[in-house]
Amino acid sequence: MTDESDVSPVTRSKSEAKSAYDRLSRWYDLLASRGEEKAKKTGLRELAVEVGKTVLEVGCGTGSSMETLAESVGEDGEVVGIDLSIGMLSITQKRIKKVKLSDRVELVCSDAANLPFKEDSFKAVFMSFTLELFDTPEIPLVLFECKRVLNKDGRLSVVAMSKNKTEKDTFTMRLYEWMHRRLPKYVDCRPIPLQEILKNAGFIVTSQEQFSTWRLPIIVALTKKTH
Amino acid sequence: MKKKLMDILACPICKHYPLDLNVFEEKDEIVEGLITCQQCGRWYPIIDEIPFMLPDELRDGKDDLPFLKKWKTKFPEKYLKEGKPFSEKSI
Repeated sequence: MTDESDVSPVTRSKSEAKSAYDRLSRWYDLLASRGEEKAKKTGLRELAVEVGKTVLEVGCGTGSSMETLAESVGEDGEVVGIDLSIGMLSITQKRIKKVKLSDRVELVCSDAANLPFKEDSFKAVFMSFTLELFDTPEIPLVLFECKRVLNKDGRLSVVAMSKNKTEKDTFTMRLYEWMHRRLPKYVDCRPIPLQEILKNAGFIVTSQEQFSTWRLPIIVALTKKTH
Repeated sequence: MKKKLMDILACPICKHYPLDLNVFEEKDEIVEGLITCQQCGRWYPIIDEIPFMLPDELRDGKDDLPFLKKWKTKFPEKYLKEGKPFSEKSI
């Protein structure tokens, strides 16, 4: 089991997060680092979405991955993107209209811990820099929901800031976690022990790569359901 | 939102499927409309082509009540009178 005391808690509420991301949405793309972009691209490549399939992105933000996913599924496929922030969804909506891919894209304002889809709806789920925004007790709920909406052979690709419990924390990691504790509304994501969390939620990691951003480790993990 | 999304949409709270759809305004896609759950009595608005399928604690009366007022005459009576988390009693 995950030792919750090792993972910093999230003290800001979900409605505070919703408003913060609405305010941040216009500037978000300027803040993303090259390390993050590289990790996202790897996560999407690993997920290898096929033409004609229905896929979901949890926490689609400003929609850069939605565009890639919409190209991958082709005109017979469908990509659904969810986000808690309507500011983020509006930016994605404009982006997708601009590249004329709206015919295969749906956007839904919803909470990853309460997904509004029936079971077995998707062939693949993509989630980048989202899981670490949830408070520790909610992370298994988000993964449970991903598992529920994925079909039997479905794949989940997760890109997240990660920490390894067996390694000693670096100075940057300790500084980041300190900032997260002191400024929870601004530094709202924090590193999580990803492999362990995925395993506990019933996913098998089939491949994994490590990147870094601001000297913090990012893990890209491709997984499948255990049963 | 396109009608096809109803093929996979379920209630985020009670997980009932299928949900019911009322279209209020339509262009290439559904611009404004209402999604309802027969099982738990909740309703979810579609605004600017995006359905808002949020749990009660993340619903905001500031957005939902003007929507309910605007489409009052087209709201199915059941949801207007006893809909969750807001009804005409909340206005």
